[in-house]
Amino acid sequence: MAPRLACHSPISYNSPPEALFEVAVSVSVSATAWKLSMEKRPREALGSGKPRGESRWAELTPELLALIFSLMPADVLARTMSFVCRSWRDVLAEPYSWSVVDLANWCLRVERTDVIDFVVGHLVDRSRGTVRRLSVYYLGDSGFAHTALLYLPTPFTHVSCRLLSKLEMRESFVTDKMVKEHANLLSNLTFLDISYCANITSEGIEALGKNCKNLALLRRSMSPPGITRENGLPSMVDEGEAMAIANNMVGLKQLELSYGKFTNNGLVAILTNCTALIYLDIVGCRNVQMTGNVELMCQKIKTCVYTGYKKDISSDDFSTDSPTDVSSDQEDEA
Amino acid sequence: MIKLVSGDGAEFEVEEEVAFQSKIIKDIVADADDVIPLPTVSSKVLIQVIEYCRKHAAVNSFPLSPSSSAAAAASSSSSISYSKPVSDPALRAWDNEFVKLNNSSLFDIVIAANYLDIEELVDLVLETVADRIKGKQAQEIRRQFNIENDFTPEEEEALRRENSWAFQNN
Repeated sequence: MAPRLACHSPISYNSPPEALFEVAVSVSVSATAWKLSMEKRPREALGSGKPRGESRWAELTPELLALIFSLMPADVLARTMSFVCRSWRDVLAEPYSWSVVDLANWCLRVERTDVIDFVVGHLVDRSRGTVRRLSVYYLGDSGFAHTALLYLPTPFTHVSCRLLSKLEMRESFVTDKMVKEHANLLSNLTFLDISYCANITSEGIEALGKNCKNLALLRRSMSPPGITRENGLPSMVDEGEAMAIANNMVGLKQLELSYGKFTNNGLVAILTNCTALIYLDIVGCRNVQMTGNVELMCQKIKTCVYTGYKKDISSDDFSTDSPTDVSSDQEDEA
Repeated sequence: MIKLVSGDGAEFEVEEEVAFQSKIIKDIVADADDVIPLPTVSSKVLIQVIEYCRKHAAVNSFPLSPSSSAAAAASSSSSISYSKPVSDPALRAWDNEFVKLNNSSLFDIVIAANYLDIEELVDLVLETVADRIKGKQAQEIRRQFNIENDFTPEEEEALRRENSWAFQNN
């Protein structure tokens, strides 16, 4: 049959080749073997012979059907697609139909960490540890631990989520402790979103960096420190996360650190070590002064987004930053 | 030139770079002749597939312009995107026109594209199908795709129990 892998590009984000074979349902054949099989095949075998309007969609090959399912939210698969017909239900009973688990919008509706943890565990079990993408909000420690290391009753064993390459868990409650315990199981991660995860600090980031050597994209945006600003207090400075990134995630291509607490020191460390960066977002990083050396280094990155970079952004909130910027610009022009 | 022969005997001469959008044809030509029988693909479907390959071969032969690759980088940074980044806005628009077909034609194309290993075309059709059924109820999907409901009430009830989590807060 067709020499197609069930899990090709629409799902993979830089996944290593061996990952693709883990859950592939069809196998690659040589061109010659394929040609022979074609010539022997009766003419009406596929496509041309069948009458129009029959329920052929019910018999779409499982791997193609699973690819369609991989483009849909997990709750839609469970609530709707399972109920279409037996053959769709049967495909959804297979682990490879759950290699992409997108629960993001469902989590935003449910807003209950205990329920979310339970359902994430349930779906990771259904995938039998073959999840490659997981998108959630409000995840707790137990859901995270279950994803990293699940227990299979048959054949009585624990399985790590060795294929997980894209993990999005914004606004989650996962703690440093849990991240440190399980980071060694997440070595296949290439895409990680831990924005607004207040219980993860530089320690968790360091553990992730040390173990996830293929990490190409990190999202770590935080909330603006509104109250502190209005009271006129200086923003808190914390170089820890920036240093953890600079020292342990040198392969990053895309990095988003909105409202980070680092200063120019942290930023320079990142820019010096992460030489593969092509996208950097440091909007709202109040302790960064976009001048001199830092500005030059940022200009070398293909896309760099920072406060004041776009002229239409209201400058009132950032008035303390602007005088340096303006004066340095004038000096340059002179 | 490479000659493709459809299941109903029609012959199509196409340029190498067009035919090579199919990885399997590329492999065959490397170790065989230039006449390639495709017994399972009808001429109607093959015409559509060749049209697609012709367009994509023409676009792929030029490197991306800086502006379109920047657009691709920007689109890949949007929050949750499962498919590949848009390579070229104009080509994407052409693709969107190409798939304005009924479900039966899309089915024939995706089977042929999968058979010929034209990854981008498979993805395009499957994304289109996914878009068409997202947000629809099972009953509507069955009607749209001529699928028969072959469940017994007991089976449906069992499914409902198993997937009860997905019905909450909805």
